[in-house]
Amino acid sequence: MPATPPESFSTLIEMLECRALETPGKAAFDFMGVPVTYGEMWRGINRFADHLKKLGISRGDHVIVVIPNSPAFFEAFYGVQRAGGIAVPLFPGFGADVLQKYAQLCQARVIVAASREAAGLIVKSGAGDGGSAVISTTVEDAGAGDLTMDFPAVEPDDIAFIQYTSGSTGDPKGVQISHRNLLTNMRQMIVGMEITGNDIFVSWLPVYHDMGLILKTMVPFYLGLDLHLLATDLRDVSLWLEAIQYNRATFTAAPDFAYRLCLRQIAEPSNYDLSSLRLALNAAEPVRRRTIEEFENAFRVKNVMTPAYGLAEATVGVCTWPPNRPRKVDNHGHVSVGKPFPGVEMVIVEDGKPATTGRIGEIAIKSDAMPAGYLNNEAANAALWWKPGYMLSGDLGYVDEEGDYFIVGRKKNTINQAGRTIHTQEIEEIADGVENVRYAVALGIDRGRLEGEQVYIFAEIRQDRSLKERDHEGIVRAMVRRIQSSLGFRPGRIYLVKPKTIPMTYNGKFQHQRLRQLYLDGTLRKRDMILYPDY
Amino acid sequence: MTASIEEIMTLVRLQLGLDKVEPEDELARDLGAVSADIVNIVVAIEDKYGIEVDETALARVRTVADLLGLVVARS
Repeated sequence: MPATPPESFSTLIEMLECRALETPGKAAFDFMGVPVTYGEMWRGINRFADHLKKLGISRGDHVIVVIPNSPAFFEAFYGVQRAGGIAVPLFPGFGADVLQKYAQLCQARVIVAASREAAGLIVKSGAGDGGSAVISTTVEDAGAGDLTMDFPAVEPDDIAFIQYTSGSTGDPKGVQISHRNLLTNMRQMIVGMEITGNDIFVSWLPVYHDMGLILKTMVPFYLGLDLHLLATDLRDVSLWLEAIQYNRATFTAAPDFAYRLCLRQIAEPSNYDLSSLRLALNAAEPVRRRTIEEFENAFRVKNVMTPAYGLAEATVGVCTWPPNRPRKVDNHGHVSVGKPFPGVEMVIVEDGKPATTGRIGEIAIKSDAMPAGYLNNEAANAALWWKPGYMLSGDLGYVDEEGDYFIVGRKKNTINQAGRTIHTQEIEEIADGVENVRYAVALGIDRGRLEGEQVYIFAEIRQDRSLKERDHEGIVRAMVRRIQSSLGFRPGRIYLVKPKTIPMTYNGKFQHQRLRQLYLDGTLRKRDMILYPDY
Repeated sequence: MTASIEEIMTLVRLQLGLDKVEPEDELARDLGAVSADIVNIVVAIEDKYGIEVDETALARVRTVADLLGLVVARS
């Protein structure tokens, strides 16, 4: 049978069906070394789609998928689409309370969890507050019996999945990404990153998030190339490096902090042979010059680490430095992310107008792969556009005389926490809920350590003379636990401060940057504004 | 500044949100600390005692008591 050229795929479902019909015995990927063929994956997808159909899922329904890297993720994620639904992949570390909130946001009736135990916890929490009628299920629940295979047709402009991001107001916003958006952006990235069918991919990036999902798993399926997928484990990056070496991988990708973890955790880089790598993409958080230089020196590779830039609001990829060319670093240490992909235009906007060369402004993006906008959020959608077709990214940057772009910062109050972008307000809402806290402000503070930016929280507590040091400790510990259980990480530092410490604008908005300055220059301590702890 | 094991234990409880820690507890295995948590603990110790801990010393830290060793070694 002649191989179907990737250019002719019009939906992800068609792409996976083609792969399963033409090369059923070929591995779609291996997970931790165990191969899963296109045939097996396709059967799993259909089985789960059939199961969803029996649960009453029909065209356009949202289904939340909370599954870490594993074969089950793909059965669930594509099974939802096969059944005509829209997948909503979320961070598996979210607590049941957060998942219930998302279920309300996107009106999802079904949550697909990794295990029956996890599924049980989700429903238990929902039953408590009355109104929720969320059903939870797992791919194991799909029966092995006869399948109807009678599913709605999937069209190119159907939404394939919702990618939630932290928006500028802190409420999570779901970007609605269509099949056409995904296939277009994949083609853009394939050209820009010079990816071929001979590339060998290794990835441990989370499959429920854009770079790990689209670039590192959809592109391999699209081209039918080899993909070696690992569990996400930041405690031990050696598995990642070993997989690159063992599989003679040519392409891997990670945020900057992951490469810093390699420098921290690997005592003897000379034990690893990464010479097969053509490209180690560095994206999804600010790219540091030092990381690139130290990683390439330690692991004896050259011009392999490739800075790139993208965001969910543009599907994922926007631009990349051309692979294997010497990089460009400006006087402030910013590393260029190169030129936009074909079909993508970038404009630096200053005071509402295009900025001149070298001037810093907000990056606006026009792309053939531009999603329609956020789900059920008219205010955010209205604020998303600079002018028709040009989306405001919230990132600040400039372009040099040669047309190369540099990212220099963010306009929004967001924090890069272990590769995830978290809006400060998500953290602040949780911190505010702790007893005796009036309100809290979260900042990303980078102490120059390899782990990069950490979350620092400044919580104003009620003026109550009966609150003793022991109570202060209790407030801090309670806050750590709440953030850990809801968001899956612990803050770098929590300060309890006196009332009226946190600077506000006249209309009551927190001034994050002003607070940052007061903390870093020692003013808070000098004015005795910090109650606890004493360091 | 001199440090006591009690001070270090309080600091670890605060950072990790725990009710109870013991000197012999291993930060990762027993207390569930990930790499960023351990670095945040060490940065807190640096701030509290006005010291600097280099990367090689940091790599040797396993237990709560080892953290006290970082301060004692430097004072």
